[in-house]
Amino acid sequence: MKKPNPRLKNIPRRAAMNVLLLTFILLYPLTAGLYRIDIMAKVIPLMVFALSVDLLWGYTGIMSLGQAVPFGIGAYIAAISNNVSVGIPSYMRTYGITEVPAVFRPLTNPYLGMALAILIPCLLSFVIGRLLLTGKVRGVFVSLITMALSNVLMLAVNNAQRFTGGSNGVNNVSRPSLFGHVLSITENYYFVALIAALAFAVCAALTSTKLGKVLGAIKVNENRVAFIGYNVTSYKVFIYVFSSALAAMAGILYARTCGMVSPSLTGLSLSISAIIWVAVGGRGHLTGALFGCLLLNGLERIMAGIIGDAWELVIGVILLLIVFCVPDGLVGTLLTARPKVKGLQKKEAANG
Amino acid sequence: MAILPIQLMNGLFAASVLLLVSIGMVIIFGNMNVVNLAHGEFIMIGAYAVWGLCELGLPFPFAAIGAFALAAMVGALCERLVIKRFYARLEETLLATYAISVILTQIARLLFSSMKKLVSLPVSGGFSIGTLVFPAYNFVVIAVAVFVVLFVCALFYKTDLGKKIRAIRQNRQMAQCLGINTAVTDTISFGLGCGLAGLAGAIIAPLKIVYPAMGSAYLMDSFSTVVVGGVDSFVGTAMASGLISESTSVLGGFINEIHAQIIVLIGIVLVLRFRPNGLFSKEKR
Amino acid sequence: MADAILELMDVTVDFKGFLAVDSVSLSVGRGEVRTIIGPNGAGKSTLIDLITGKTRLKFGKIVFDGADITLRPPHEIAHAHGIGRKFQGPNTFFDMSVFDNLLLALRGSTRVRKNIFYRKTGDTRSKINDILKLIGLEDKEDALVSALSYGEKQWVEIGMVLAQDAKLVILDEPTTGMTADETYKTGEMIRAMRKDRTIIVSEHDMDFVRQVAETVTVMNQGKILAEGTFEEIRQNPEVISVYLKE
Repeated sequence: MKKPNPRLKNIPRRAAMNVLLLTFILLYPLTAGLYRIDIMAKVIPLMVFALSVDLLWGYTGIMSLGQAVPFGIGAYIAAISNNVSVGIPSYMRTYGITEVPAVFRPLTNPYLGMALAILIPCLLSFVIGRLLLTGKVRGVFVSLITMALSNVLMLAVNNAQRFTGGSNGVNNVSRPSLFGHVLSITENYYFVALIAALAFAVCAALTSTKLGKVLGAIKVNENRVAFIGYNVTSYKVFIYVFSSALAAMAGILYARTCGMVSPSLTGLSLSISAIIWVAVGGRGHLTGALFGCLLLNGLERIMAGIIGDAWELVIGVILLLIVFCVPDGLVGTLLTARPKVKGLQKKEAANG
Repeated sequence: MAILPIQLMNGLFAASVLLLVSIGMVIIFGNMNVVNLAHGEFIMIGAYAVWGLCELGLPFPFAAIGAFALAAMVGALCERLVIKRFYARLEETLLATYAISVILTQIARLLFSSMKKLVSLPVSGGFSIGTLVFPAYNFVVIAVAVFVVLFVCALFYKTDLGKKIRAIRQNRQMAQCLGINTAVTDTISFGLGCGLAGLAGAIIAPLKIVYPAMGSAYLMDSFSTVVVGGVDSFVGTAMASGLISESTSVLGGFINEIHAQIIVLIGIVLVLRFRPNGLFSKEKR
Repeated sequence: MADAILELMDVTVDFKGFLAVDSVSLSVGRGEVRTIIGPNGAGKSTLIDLITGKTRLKFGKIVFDGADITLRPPHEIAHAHGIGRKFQGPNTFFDMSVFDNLLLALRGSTRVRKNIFYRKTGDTRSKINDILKLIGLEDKEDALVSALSYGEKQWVEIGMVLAQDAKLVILDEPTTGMTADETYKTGEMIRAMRKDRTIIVSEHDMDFVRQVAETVTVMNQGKILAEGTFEEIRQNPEVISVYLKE
């Protein structure tokens, strides 16, 4: 008896969902006022961030609790670069700084600033990845170490007030400009959406390569991968750095769209939020990450206006329900209606 | 010259606080292998319990015992309803315990609002050593920490319950075959871990401000301490609390306190990376 | 031995005072099928772990095909040196199709960049078809491995080792959990895969050993007890006493 591979049957369903999402994002500005468009333009970078978490966690099985580190660094460098490119930011002036500090001088060039906002998080992730993802560190410890690193960064950002504005963050960041023209709210919305769509396309292409298969193999049975000759560490480091670049890019877009950055962008709660978006949507499909992010952020902005703080209670309950009832996530469950052989798989995973 | 003894003394006090907030995690993370992201919220429950019971006029020691009991009960309930389904599944455990932490924080916020509560110090006054004066309550904290470690060690190494918990840790199936009711033992040990977190919350409540999100500040601290101490070792955790607090405190005497925290945290990351079995435990295979 | 492909020289593995492999010297000739037998805990699996880089030795040296592979990482031993390994019990990528399992294992570049721009060729297809035929799973290439029977999973893993196109193939108890019929088929697969390969099999099943073995090495308590043909081993009094004792 020939059993078809459920993955193959998914493709039309997944494509349909992607088209649906894209249509929604393209048409949204027609239905909403400027205020709402701006809010949505702040959610789209978070969707890119969710993609980066999905690549790392959903596809490769690395559960980083510090994905906000590249996001936050990207956002901060972009914000500071934007500020110092037009003069001395006001928060620096309150500390009596009258000229751009030497470390920030390269950032006065906006293009160099943009490049560094992606390169520096990548470099950092490369070093961390090389040390951390060697297979000698158990999964729990990878999560704990990344969590600790994100704590270190948050402490540092809070503390270096002269450079980062401390707990007030960096303000007065302008929206992106193209050819000397600062984008309007609606233009910025489509700009951000375009970059997000490109990011999605690159991620989708990447995960459909043989590299994507190797990553999937690492996720289910890391040990075996090494014994067929792949250097697991270099694959993990590659995807870690790649997803950091994506997260940094999301951070840049977020900073420029929101007009400000604050230390919470580097902290544990943002990392965990992104993990929740991906878990709710379904890991390892990209579409799930986008959908989960959009759904929860959308709900949050609607519900928070109605029930206030109690919204977080709802999030907690939703998360519990997902973990209990739909462990594959909403989109994941829609995409894979696979035969029930779970118990067996778990056993094998434990043996492997 | 005078600054170092102050730093050392403050370090000892800080170590006791750290030990108290971490000891529950030795049981839950070290012995049950559950990464409990809601650990801080059980500290918060303990703090609110002691505040509530003191408001009702109960003397502080009884209120602290009440805090232990309440946190233990909530913990046992969580284990029964949620945690027990996810043993040995890291990702689900992380998500589920994070959900619990959010829910508990929000329940506290709905019940008590975000308003900060204060618990008055149960003992006032201070001891002077030479020209230095230390608050009397600091010594209470140190004494309680020492007592708790002795209590837990005795429980783990001298009683049947302790033997059962350790047996399950080493070989769950074998323990079941030997007739140990693993489900009940799991609930008890998880409850115990949460109860100890609650007790810690009660003890530190007079020193800090009680508010719904207070717990999150202790999560990383307790993980760090437990890991540096060797995950499953009470004595190791005691030593780790000492090491971390003393180094933060002494370093903080010379440089900016935040810088000291950052340096210590980076040190902890290095320990996590290169000695995942902790600084004080024998190397395991 | 003039044409030895694998040579272990006085290797010792020390698990905290317990010598799982105790100064073993072993030489396997090119193209040979070598069977390693021995009671549980004799050190067979540890020896295999040692050769494939999973376990680190304390003393000694391992030379494979002229290169020193002592203490090299597993992926290097597998790819650069060409030693393939089948684990005890099926160890595959269970939520992927049979085809993908073989494709991942297929000898090719293991570099990150190469695998981003990898394209399947007709040659890939025909190589995988050959393997599918050999392991008898031609009509199941799209099935998820988790949906296969236990014996079929074992064969998928044997197929993966074949796809690696290794010079030396090590099979750790390949027939565990198989029916007599499946065991026999596996034996035939091993004979068929010989061609230009060297094969080491660790095994319990004596009928199976008789079916595939040329030279048999008997291990006990971390040491080599005897070495010879199946008949020689069967009549060796020391070996008999070890097995009777068990």
